[in-house]
Amino acid sequence: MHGTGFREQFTGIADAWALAEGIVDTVREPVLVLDKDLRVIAASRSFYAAFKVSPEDTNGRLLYALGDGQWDIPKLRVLLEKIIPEQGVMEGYEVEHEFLGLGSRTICLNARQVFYEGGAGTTILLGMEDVTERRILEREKDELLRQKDTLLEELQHRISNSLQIIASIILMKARAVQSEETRFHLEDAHKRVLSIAAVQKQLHASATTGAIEIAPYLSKLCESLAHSMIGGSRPISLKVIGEGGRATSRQAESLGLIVTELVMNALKHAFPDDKAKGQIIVAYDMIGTNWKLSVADTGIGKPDSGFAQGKSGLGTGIVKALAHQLDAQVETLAGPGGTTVSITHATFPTKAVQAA
Amino acid sequence: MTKIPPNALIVVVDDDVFERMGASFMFVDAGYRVLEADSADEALQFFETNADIRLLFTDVSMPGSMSGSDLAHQVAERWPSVGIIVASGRPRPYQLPLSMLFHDKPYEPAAVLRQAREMTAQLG
Repeated sequence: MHGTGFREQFTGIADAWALAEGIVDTVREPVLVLDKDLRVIAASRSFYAAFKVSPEDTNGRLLYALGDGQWDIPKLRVLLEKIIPEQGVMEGYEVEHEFLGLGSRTICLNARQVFYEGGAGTTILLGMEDVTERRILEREKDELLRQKDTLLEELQHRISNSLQIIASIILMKARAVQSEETRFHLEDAHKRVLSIAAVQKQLHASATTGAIEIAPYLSKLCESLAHSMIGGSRPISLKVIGEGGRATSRQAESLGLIVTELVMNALKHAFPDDKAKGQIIVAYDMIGTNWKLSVADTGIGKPDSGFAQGKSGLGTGIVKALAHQLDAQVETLAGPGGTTVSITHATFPTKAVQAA
Repeated sequence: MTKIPPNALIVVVDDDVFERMGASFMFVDAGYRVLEADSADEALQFFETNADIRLLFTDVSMPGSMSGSDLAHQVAERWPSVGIIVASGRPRPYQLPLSMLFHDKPYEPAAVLRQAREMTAQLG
């Protein structure tokens, strides 16, 4: 339409006028064509329908006199008498106004001044889109989003408090039992409640987007583990390295629980001397869909026998089950330099396998 | 963990019975004497009638005229030598001065006890 062909095709004024009328009639958005005195030259069918007026009461009339003067709106006067003569074009100019039989509406105005060759006056095209429903929906959506955030906060608060109640009850049971072994198991259960809470809290904090950035998530989680499980009591450092990557919140939850299990295990078994310096390094790297998580300690390398040790240990079982859920392999390497547990998820593209 | 019974007096504030009992047992087992309150208002009464309270361990969201952070503020102002540890299931309240110790719930008892020991030791 904007090409040079336009002028050539519509040489006759009558043709051009017919086209213009056709366009004005076809557009779904109400449109008025005004002369330089703001008298209505043409109006679209959608204008009559939207504002419940007839062509007889509209054509040839002054805009401000239409419908008992309901278009005599101060903001519209500013638009047509100041902005348009100065700038020629105005888009997305919103006006809130009370219309006869329609009530309060929010109208989005688009106006454009059209000049003609030979300077035979100007015409103003005025498009008006009723955006009332859209604005109401937007306000409702914002309000719903606010409510959702409040609900999530409240839910997180309740989960934390419930976990605290469970943790308190387990510890009260632990102090009430006679058997050392039972107490050990109850205290272990208490630690697991804390680890689930730590993972859950970090996931909640990063739950605004669908995918979780693993590096900052594991860093925060390990910060919290170091704060609660090491504190200032032992000279052991816990740090997170690696390129990171993204995962779904479900995968992130499993990764977080694995890291928590392995870190707890290292703290329990790798450094039997409470005064010994040590380091635990958590690494996560991702290439394409393949990733590797590892937890390495600089401890004694040969875990001593504790209740949760050995192949049948609960900790080991949990790590294996979570790794299985992530479709990953667990590998443990223990030597004089310490213990490294790696969880690897490796897939090979089918094509590459066929080519090989 | 209970090598030197500190014997110092602690006020534990929580509106939840289990959480309050759990915290109370934790401190008693570590050798402290404990006063339990289920609201900030009740806790304040303890401070007004006991000069030898050394530590406040409080929840944040509780029914009553004051929250746990209001209580922490008042105690810090009126009894500046009292150590304060705050724990909550909500994020750290922004009104809480950064100098005040805060724990997310569920907290690690060993971490809380370590801080309690440091604070009561510092205070002589």
